[in-house]
Amino acid sequence: MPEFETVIGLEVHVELLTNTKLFCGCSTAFGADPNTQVCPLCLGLPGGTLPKLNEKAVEYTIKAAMALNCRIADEITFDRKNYYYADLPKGFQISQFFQPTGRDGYVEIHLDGRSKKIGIHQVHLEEDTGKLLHMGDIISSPYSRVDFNRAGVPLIEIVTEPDIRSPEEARLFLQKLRSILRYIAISDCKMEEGSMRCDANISIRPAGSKELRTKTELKNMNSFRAVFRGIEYEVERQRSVVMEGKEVIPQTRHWDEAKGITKAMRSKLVSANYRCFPDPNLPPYKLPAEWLEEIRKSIPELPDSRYSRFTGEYGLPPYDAEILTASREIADYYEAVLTGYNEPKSVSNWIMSELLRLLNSTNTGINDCKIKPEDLGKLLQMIDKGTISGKIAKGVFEEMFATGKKPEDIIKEKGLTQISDEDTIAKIVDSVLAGNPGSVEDYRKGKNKALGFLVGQVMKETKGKANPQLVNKLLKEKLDR
Amino acid sequence: MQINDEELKNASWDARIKLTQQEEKELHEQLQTFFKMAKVLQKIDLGEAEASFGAIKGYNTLRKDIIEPSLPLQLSLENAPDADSSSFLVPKIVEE
Amino acid sequence: MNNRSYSARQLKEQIKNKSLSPQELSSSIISLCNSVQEKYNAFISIDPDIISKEIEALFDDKLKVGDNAPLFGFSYSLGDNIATSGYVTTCASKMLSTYKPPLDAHVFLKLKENGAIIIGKTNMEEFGIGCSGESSYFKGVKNPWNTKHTAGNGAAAAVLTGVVNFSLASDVRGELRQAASYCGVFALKPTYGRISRRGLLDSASSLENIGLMAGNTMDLAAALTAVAGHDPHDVTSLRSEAPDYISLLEGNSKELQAAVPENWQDAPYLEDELKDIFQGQLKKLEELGIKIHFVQLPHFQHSSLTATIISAVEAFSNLANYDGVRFGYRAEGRHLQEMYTLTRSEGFSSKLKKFLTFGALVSSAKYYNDYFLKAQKLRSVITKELEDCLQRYDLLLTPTTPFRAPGPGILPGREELPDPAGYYTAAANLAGLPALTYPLHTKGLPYGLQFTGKKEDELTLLKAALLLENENTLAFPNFDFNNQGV
Ligand SMILES: [Zn+2]
Repeated sequence: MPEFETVIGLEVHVELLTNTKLFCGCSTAFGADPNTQVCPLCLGLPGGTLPKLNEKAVEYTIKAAMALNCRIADEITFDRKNYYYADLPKGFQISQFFQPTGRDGYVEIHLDGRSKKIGIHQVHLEEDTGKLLHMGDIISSPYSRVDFNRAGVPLIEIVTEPDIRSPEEARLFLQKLRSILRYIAISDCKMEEGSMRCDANISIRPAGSKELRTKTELKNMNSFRAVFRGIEYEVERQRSVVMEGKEVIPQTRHWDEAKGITKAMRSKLVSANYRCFPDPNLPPYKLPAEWLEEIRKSIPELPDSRYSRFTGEYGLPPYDAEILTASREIADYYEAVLTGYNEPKSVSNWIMSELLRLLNSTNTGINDCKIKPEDLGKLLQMIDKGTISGKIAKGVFEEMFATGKKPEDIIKEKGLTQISDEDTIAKIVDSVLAGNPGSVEDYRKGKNKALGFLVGQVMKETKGKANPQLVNKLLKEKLDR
Repeated sequence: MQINDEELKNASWDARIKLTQQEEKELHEQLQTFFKMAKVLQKIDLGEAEASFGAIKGYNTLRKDIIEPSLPLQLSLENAPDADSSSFLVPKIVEE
Repeated sequence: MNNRSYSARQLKEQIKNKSLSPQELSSSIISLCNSVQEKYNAFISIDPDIISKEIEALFDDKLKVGDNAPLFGFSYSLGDNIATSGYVTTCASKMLSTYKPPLDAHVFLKLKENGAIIIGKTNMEEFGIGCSGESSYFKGVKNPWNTKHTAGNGAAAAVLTGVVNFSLASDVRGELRQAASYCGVFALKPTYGRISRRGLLDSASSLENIGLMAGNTMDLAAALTAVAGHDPHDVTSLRSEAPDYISLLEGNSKELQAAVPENWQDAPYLEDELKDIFQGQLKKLEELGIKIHFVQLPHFQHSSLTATIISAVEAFSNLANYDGVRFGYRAEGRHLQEMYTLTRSEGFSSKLKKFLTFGALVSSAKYYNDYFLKAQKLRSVITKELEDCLQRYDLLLTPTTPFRAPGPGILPGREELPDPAGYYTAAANLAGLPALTYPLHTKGLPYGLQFTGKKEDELTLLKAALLLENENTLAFPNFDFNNQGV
């Protein structure tokens, strides 16, 4: 069986977090009633107003292009892409066909301990379309409703080079892209809500070959999992087509999430002919150098650079660093805890096992987390100092998470301070030994398990507050005497 | 230069227009004159000339990202040939 | 001054000294409108209620229209591709025969501010493309000089008959000036961007402008002063403020240097009589102190071809929103694409259908580079040629059209690609330059003399027109209406 190599290029659409649409002042808020966020311009009504370019949308596009290591164009220009569809109000989409805002960038992904650069062909700004609501599915629907609220919302399209070699790389790329775009806060990148959408161009070729073979375009993948599964399925499908000695047909295919297969869309004989030309209502906007500089300065430290710092400076394992840096807020939180308590690995453990678990189970974002980073630092210090045990600390942590109280207040209120006074513990140990002669007997016969039981009894007596090391030490001394 | 019927049909389809036979005949005639005159386009030396696409050489300006009122729903739907209480209605999308 | 039915200045006096009642004025204007409409089909909408209300406001001291408003007492009309929320705005197309735009055009608001009253919306070629009188859904406009001929559009007929003092209409490849030439009135297409395009239902955004027509230079200047200037809502409008043309026209003018294309006689369909008339005019201009220079403009002759290609491709795109979904005419179809095709095939005129197909053809993948892109390059070359020429001379002088109003006996009434009527006019649209047509009243149908000027220099054109107007007595015909107006 011949070896095949998979060649994947992605086209990712991301809705920008602007207040208003690309060329008019209509709101972009998600979830409004149909056709309540439209005006003569974004409805394409004749004799309405003329397009006026949204400053924020341009700024965000440049920011994204910079964060993806692109070269930035000198001017922002717009072109019309002419075609007919019910969700397209003007009969053309305004996009950047001739001169994208950013070109020739890259994104680095980490895979099996190595890193790989995925080339970014271009980043450009364009308008979104409206939405069609069918009665049932598109094929049987006797008519459809059109909602133009989304028409004209600014989108950026990120087109990769065909550098992706597996479904896993595609998923990692998308996750890294989302992470970067969230770091610079230009989009919420929610695939489920459609604010991040991904199409894939997929082909296979004999391993070692350099030429590009016939590709299919895969659409309708609405989650990271769907991207992975869809591509995986499509690669397999192409492989069996080729193995049967047939040709892959260039076509657009839809991922069917429920059935787990890809399906061909009806192929149009006439090839798409968009007749792109510069929009005569939108002269070029010359980008001032000072503005570009300002935007560049506003870009925070990005995940890759943070990752290297976390593995280098803090000595974190790659796994920890990857998770902590995937979100800017979590990485910020992590570093904020470190300023009060400089034990990188221990803080990482607490965030990754305790904090992220609680955030997930309560569906809370890190920004809404009630535990202040300095309070987490304090809690960890108290464990080190022996003020409380690690076990008690977990209970305190949960209380902090629920109420936002400071750890010292919780400990005081509940009297949770660890008992480290030898005399006090010795008295309790004596009474436990006196009350459990059977266990003492067992221990002396060599059943080490009995020691654990006796420790547990002491802890029970002290409501878990006794210093466990001290309990162990005293019990052993007395038993071995 | 002769435009074949297929090319003309594709072009009119792209404009979502169906020409009558009479109109097709007339357009063929107009195109004959046009292509005769347009030969000059291929002959004249336009040198390094850049395509201009617009009458002004000016630059665009930017608008602040501030929400302005949208149209009241009833006004948006007022001119629609077919609408319900909230949306525009279009016929069946898929042809089959 | 000419002998048209009334002038705004006289009217202002009459309103001031109350020698006229609002009812008298309204009924005389409305009946004049009706006559003009009946005889020439100049209008698509006339609303007597709106006219009466506007006139009452003129007489009402409590209402805002002060008699010091610059256009107090002026009446005007708008081409029906300029948006008015009070009137249907049809673009003379079945597609929009009941369409009420949600907003008013910038020019409408400006004119209201300046005290002018709107008489109605004028008829034109469908979407203002061309001037040969064939494609209006509401039938063609008859030329008041000879009703067998086209007037080009209703705006020109309205000005000629005196039912309005001035009118606004659009100019894609010269339509405004051509119609003015056919009807023997003044017209000015200002520099691209001088007048905001907000509210213009345009077919070719990069070429098309709103322009003005009037019965004399001063009215033209007064109307221009009112509507010109930067509009922050139109990013293609000029940033520079427009001057007060009226006061500047009063100053002395320097000696003007005019260029004439050496090969001006090469226009297809050029009428022999026009050759003589034009040459006669050149002599006359020399006598008036305008110096004539013959110049070489090798690419000027390709202007109409270039503009025809570009306007067709832009119309293909600009009119793609006429799809029967959000507004306008819809034909029933079994599915979406059939609905589109039937809607557009039934809603547009036969002429426009062919023109849009032509636009789709020359921008299709196969022809894009050789035709559409080449035309855009040629546009740069023509623009440069004109700009270089106008660096050395104050204006370019040509006939406005190679022939008089099409009709029986004067041939180019049929559709043609490129449009022969645009031979002299299209260059100003390609280059975005101002151009003015001055009426030449001869035996039979009138001709026009066109001045094309430097960017943003409408003033020189108005000065040249005024110079001629002061020397010539224009013979406006007396129209035989039952009710002669005020
Ligand atoms: Zn809007």
